[in-house]
Amino acid sequence: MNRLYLDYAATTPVKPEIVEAMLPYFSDFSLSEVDAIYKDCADTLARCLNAPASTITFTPSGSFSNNLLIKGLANYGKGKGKGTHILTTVIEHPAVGNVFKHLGDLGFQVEVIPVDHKGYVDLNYLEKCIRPETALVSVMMVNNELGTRQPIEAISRLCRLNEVLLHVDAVQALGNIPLDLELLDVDAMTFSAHKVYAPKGCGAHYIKPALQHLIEPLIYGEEPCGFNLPYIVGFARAVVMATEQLESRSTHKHLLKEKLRVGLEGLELGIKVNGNPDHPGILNVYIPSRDGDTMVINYDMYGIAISSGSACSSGALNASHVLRAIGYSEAEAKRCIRYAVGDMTTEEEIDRVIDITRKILKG
Amino acid sequence: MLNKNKVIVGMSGGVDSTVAAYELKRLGYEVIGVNMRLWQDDFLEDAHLLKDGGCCSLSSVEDARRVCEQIGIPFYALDFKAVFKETVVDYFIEAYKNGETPNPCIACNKHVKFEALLEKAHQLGAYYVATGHYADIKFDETLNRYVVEKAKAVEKDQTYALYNLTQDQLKHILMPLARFTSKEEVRQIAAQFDVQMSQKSDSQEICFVPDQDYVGFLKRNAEYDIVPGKFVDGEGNLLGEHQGIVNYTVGQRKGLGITFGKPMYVVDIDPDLNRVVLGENEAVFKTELWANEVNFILMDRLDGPYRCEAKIRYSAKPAPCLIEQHGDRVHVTFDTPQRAVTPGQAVVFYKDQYLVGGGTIIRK
Repeated sequence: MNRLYLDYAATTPVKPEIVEAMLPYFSDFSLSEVDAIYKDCADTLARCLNAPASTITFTPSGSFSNNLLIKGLANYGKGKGKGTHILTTVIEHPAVGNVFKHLGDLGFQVEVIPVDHKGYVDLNYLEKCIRPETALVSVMMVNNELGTRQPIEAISRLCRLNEVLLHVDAVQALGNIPLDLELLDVDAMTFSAHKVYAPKGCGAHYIKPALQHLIEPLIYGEEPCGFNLPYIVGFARAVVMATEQLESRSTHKHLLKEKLRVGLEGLELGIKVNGNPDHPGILNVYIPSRDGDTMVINYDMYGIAISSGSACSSGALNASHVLRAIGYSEAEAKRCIRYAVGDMTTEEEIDRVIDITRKILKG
Repeated sequence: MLNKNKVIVGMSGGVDSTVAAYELKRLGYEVIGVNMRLWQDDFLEDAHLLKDGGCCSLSSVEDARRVCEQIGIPFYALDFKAVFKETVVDYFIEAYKNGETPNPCIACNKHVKFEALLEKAHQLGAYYVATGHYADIKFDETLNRYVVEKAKAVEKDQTYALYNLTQDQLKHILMPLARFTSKEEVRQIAAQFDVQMSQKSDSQEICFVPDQDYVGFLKRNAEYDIVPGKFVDGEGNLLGEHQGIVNYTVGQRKGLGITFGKPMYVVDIDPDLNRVVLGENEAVFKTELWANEVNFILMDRLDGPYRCEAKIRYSAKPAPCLIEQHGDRVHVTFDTPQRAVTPGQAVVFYKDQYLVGGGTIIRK
């Protein structure tokens, strides 16, 4: 049976072009070139993101970057005379949410901002939460489960106005929506390679020039020759491709996602879309007659990979905190699944998914 | 349409469920292994006390996955934490508050294994759920209903914990271990697979209290306080101080914390007065009991007095009795007095090899 992958928001396969770009860097370079290649890759990312040179750092993962940035910025803000009040949203990925929990244990006052039924942060609410002692706000750009994109521009203005640092987790945004750091004007942003058809085990982040070298490292003793150069090269190549093809790939994904949505709604089983999927590939739906977990299993038995909630929460088997946050009960939240269309998805695959969904639900 | 050839097997990675799945596969069923993720006490998880626990331990997912791979069937883990917490753990906590001695396995069978898991099975298109229970489900043409017989492996018989099954549930349940005459036979088949051969999950220990300290469990998880109170005799005379009613069960002799110069036993627990009544050996024997939350398998309900046998605990021997239904309760009169009739435990009725039904023993 041909496996059909429709879980691109969880992770992506590595594209052959990326593999090809990486291969020489497993062997064919001298140690003296490492610094130059690293800098070249970092500046490539910066260029794609419309950020100044020397603002990008590569790390072992998105979670690593989130940890480093959130801990670093919170402590820096506090050290600069701000207080220990830090803000985030209720729909963050655990890679952010758990860092805030940890900082809470360390004595920071963590405040968690709710979202509306579509998954958007309420700007008025956020504004009211910001206090003179607020050191940091962290908001994810595109939610990994719902695909909603937060109004980062407005949040950024609010933070500037109040002199609060702003971190943005853009792991799910990169390669799927336009990212212009000059326009967004955030203090720090996190990215991950494995969401943009590059390998797992590589992340990156942006830090505003004025804040460079002011953030405490997570690990001491890092040496340039310890870099995972092939992955960094692959990541940079992937971001170039994603940027160049952003419009065509977004259109491709959006059309297929719409086809899927129309097909699912056409089954007339009361399937409805959750949140407001600004992300071109993410489609999170509520299915009244089935639990998300049994849907995932049913699809799996037909060779289709999707997920209920985020991949991480599927492992933990809890109802999605994101779906709870947009107003679903525990039982309702468990009746949701997420499809995520990717660059390689085809029309035939969408037809097959709709057909199999009909088989599963209508017998 | 549910597929009558498709069956979901609850897999713990242990001997019984492994052989159940293997047997069904051998018989030509399309078998899907499911590990039920159940609620755990965070305290024990943090203390790493769950690692090698019973059927619900953390390692059971990987054990079950490995075994399913060896049998050659798909494997999935499914979340039953919320329903388990609500119908088993909360019931367990509440029962002790009421001076009862709960039987969580019976609650789990009723609400989780044969209700929640069956619902998932149907969502997966499967007509059947199967478990590694030792019991025999048959359809009786004369009675025109499903009946449950004691297992051929008599010493392993688990019908005691299955009396709540309804006709609708029985229609959808397979228990492939019914044909085995001993656990040894089952273990021999299991030996070809990489299973935990230890006997520990066989015991009657409570899977969510793997350290066996249920009082400690209640202290951590119950919302009520465990308040010391009075030991009294049958006439209400003060005999001493007890450490809170949850510490005691009817028939208990050890651990009372005081000596009386003669053997004294717990005869009754009064939650309203927070008192524990003690008495001598003969006071622990009773000829009668009442049960509620009754379910009958062999018939819809009793038409009149009915001669059968009854067990008042899992390990008890069936004792001859006369039972009579009054509304939603059943009155049981034994031919000979029974030791330690314990509120909260199940009384289960048998007629020859048949499981007649059962109910929960009440205080009156």
